[in-house]
Amino acid sequence: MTWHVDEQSAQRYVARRLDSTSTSSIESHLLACDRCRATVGVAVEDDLLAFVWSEISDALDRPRLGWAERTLRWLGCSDTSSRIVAATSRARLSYVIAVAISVAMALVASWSGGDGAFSAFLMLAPIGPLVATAGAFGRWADPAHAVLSVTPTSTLRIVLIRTAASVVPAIALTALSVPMLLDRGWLSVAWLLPTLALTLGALALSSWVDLEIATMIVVGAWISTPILIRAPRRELLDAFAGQIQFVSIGIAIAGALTMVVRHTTFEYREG
Amino acid sequence: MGSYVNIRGLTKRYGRSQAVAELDLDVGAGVLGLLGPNGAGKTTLMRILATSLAPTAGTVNVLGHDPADAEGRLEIRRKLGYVPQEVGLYENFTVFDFVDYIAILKEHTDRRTRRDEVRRVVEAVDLGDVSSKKIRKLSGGMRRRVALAQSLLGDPALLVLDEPTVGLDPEQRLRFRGLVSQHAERRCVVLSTHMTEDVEALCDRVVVMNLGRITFDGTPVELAALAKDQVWLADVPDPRALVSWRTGEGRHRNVGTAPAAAELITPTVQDGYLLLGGRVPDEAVA
Repeated sequence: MTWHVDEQSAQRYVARRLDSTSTSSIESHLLACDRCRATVGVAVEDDLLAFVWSEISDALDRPRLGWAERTLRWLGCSDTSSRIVAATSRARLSYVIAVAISVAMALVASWSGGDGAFSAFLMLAPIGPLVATAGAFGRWADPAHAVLSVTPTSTLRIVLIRTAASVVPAIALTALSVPMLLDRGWLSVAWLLPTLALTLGALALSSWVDLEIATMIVVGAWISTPILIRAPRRELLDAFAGQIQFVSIGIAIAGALTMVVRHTTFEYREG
Repeated sequence: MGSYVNIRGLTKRYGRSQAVAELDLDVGAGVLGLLGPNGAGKTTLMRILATSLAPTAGTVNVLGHDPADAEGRLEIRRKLGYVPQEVGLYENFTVFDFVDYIAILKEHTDRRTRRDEVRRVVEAVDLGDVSSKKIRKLSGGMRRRVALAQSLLGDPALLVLDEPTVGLDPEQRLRFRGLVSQHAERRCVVLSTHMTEDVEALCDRVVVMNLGRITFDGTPVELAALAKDQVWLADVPDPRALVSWRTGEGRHRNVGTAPAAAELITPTVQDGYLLLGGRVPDEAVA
């Protein structure tokens, strides 16, 4: 090689004070010349070098974001919140199956036009979001829950973020059934308030027992009540149009208040 | 900080079953080993120290704070590293992703410093070469090291490690001991284990628990000394021994009341621990 980088050029190169042609020329030369790499290396400040290496490591180590996390960040969610949501995918299949069952029931109701299938749909519709709730936290849903529960980040915050992130899509998917049932008028969405009530009820109950158990109790109570009282289909539909909506509002409020009053039990379990 | 943990009259009941009974314990800097059989109450005690579980009765003070108080609990958790007995990880995360996630939950909000810290702890447990590997592709020992890495985030004042060496090979266990020793020079480590070799190699102090109570509290040397003149070698298992097993040299190591003219040998921590398992000598309770 007949040409080498002199000290002055090296300093100007490091300070980015060279034109683009000279910069490219030096960079090409550095690839093949140990001596000039040493010359330029001396000109680089340690802090700048450390920063560059840190940026490279950061780019290499940066977590590869899944579609859920990318979507949440695009919607403006913080790093923390979107990571909290992305961490548990174990429950997704479960609630997708539950939602698929209720949408299938809506299809049957729409095709048959009968009250039996429709009332079954109204009973099944909240199950998908409830399964999503069960997937928010706990031994089944979150394998790392033992570690998470002793971090400074509030366990209740984790539970609420994940519940919202799972329940909202579950409700949205279930709502795909609504266009099939428009002939039923507003009753096609009469499952929404019960869904809210049962979700808040399960969360409130989880201040006493594990969230998965709380959800199973709530699902069991919801499904078994009309069976136990042997409610005829017509009466069940009338109840959805009236009493169930009012009772749901009451349960939702009671559930929310319970969570507020007992919020410390989410952070520090007694059993 | 003189004392990291102060416990008085700690009791924990699950229904009618008592996991920990009227336990008093003070823990300072260094490494405390917790030994005991299954069901002794070790994991319950570890969970209480880690603020994961509330006691039924008694007073607990960790790093100068009461975990029953919300503010105090938050302060403890900011200076705590915890490895639970059952290590649960996210299979679809890489090693780096997982530790980075826990770092976020541990309030390391600045991205650059958080990533540097994650790299530090991942390198410390010798997982730097596989940091971009998915956790589902890791061996059991590597998974345990991931759990250990997240516990080291933020250089915690108190490390609570519940059976951390399960699944580690001898070389990894040696490295783990080095890591813990280094950390414990200025900090407190409470380590629950079944491996008496870990206690012998690592711990300044050992507490033996059984049925929710402390049956021994002293140094590993003192625990081994409980078996003084009660460990001997013979060509066949001695029926008078409490415990007897065949060694690699083909002879039998016996622990118990040695007969006259027995070929006595120097007892180990394991021998002392085995003797405690057979009885609860008054002199063994601190």
